[in-house]
This record gives sequence, C-alpha cells and structure tokens, in this order.
Amino acid sequence: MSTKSIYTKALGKAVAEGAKKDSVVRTLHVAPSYSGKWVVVPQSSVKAVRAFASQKSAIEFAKKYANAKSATEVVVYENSGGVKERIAV
Amino acid sequence: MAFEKSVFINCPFDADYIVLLRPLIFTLVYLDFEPRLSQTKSSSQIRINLIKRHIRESMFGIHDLSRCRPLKEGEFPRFNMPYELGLDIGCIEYGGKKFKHKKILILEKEKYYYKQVLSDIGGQDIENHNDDPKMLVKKVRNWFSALNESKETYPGPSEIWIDFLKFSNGLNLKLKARGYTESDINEMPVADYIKFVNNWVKGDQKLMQAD
Repeated sequence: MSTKSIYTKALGKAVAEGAKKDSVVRTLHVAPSYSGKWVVVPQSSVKAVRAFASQKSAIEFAKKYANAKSATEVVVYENSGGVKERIAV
Repeated sequence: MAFEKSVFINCPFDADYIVLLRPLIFTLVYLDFEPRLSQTKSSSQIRINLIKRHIRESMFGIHDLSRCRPLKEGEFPRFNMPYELGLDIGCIEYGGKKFKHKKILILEKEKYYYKQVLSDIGGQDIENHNDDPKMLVKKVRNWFSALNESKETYPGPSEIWIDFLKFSNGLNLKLKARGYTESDINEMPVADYIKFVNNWVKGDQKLMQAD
C-alpha cells in the first residue's frame, strides 16, 4: 500500500455529509444481506424496503421504487462490498 | 487513546486484504473503538517496537491469520502475524496485573484450520470469516457484543454492514469527484481511511469545532 496521503479536514467534512439522514430518497442501494437475499435499502435508512432471492429481481424492484419515490440513482453492490453498477433512473 | 477502547489489529496490508481490512476498521469505529495498526515502511526494529506499543496500549487484539498461508505456489508462508499474536498472548501471560484482562480474537478463513495446525491455540476465541467481509463484520460485532457488560446493546450486524456500504460508496464518489483515481483510493494510508470513517460515523461536529 502507498503512503500517499489523501485526507484533509475539508474532504472529511464532505464525506461526513453523506452520513446525514435525509428524508428525501435520492439513492437506493441493492445489497447482499446476511439471509443470502438481496435487499433494497434507501439512503435514509438501514432497513430494507424489500428482500429478493435474486439480485436481478432486487434491481428491477429498486428501479420501479426509485421512480415512485423520485430517486435518481440505484447503486448495486458486489458480495465483496464493492460497487458493481450505478444505474441512473 | 483510552486503553479500554483501543483495538490492536494484526493483519497484512496487502492490496487483496483491503476488502476485509476496511469493513473491520469501519466496524470498530462504529462500535466506538479505536483501531490501532502498524502500517509503516520503517525498519523492522522500529515496526516491532510500534507493534509492542500497540499491544501494551490496547485492551483488545484482533489477529487475522487468514493470510499466513502462501496464496500462490512458490510463495513463502508468512509468520509475522502468528509472531505478533504470540507477543499479545505473552503480554497477557507475563505482562502483569494490568494486562490480565486483555481480550484476543483470532480470525481465520476456514473453521478449525488453526486448531489443526497450531493446537496450542486452543482456548482462544477463534472465528472464521470465509474471506467474506459481511461475515467478518458479523463475527467481530458479535464478539464485542458478547464481551459488552453495559446495558446498551450494539447495533446489529445488518445495520453496520449497510452503513459500511453507504460510507464506501459516498467516500468513493467524493474522492473521485475531486480527481482521485481508483488506485489512489484503494492505496490510501490506513490512517487516512480511519479519519474518513471517524468523520462519517461520528459526524463532522469535531471538524467544525477545529476550524
């Protein structure tokens, strides 16, 4: 690993902004869960709106739910925790 | 740093371990602990002195032995991590009264592997994560939960995992928007990563006050 420093207070502040619970749903997350299912979770919550046996079904639902809630993006994760795909809706 | 809140992490700093190290750090900060690691390019003497200091100053030790085995043919096994585990156990055994209550969690990839190849390890808390970051979050959270004597319960593993994903996504977006590449982000020093996690988990009030 490199030792090239990235952190600044300003960047830390900017990243911390994302932790604020926003009542407006802008992003939906499609994530692997402990039950083995794929869950759809709004940015404003840690609780799933719904769970699906397949990632594909979860993505389909998330797109429709995003449209209904005026969200603008669906973020799909890999099992490793990395981002697999960002879908603009 | 308070002794009771400090957690010494004994693990590799390889690029392929980052998928486990980052959720581990996030979980510790989320549970209000302070991770302590020895990522340094200094000489081995300086490094080992730093490790000994972390061990002396940490109530908890998390030792991930999952990368001790060679990953490819022709590679050597790596004994730094078992060596550092031995130092931590030695601290408990011979370090005196203050260290008798230190707690150690050993992580491995496959269940019972280390009981087979290192039978003297029996009696320690050993958990396996199968190289799955989600599982690592759960095992570490549950270990601290079992040790927790206060009335307050810790957030569940699902909550920590989902917030970790959101944090990671937000961090990547913000840094990329400022021109950092994927490799800049993946290779940032662990100390920087801990600061970002602290800001996200604990809010930016402290930063505001510091301005």
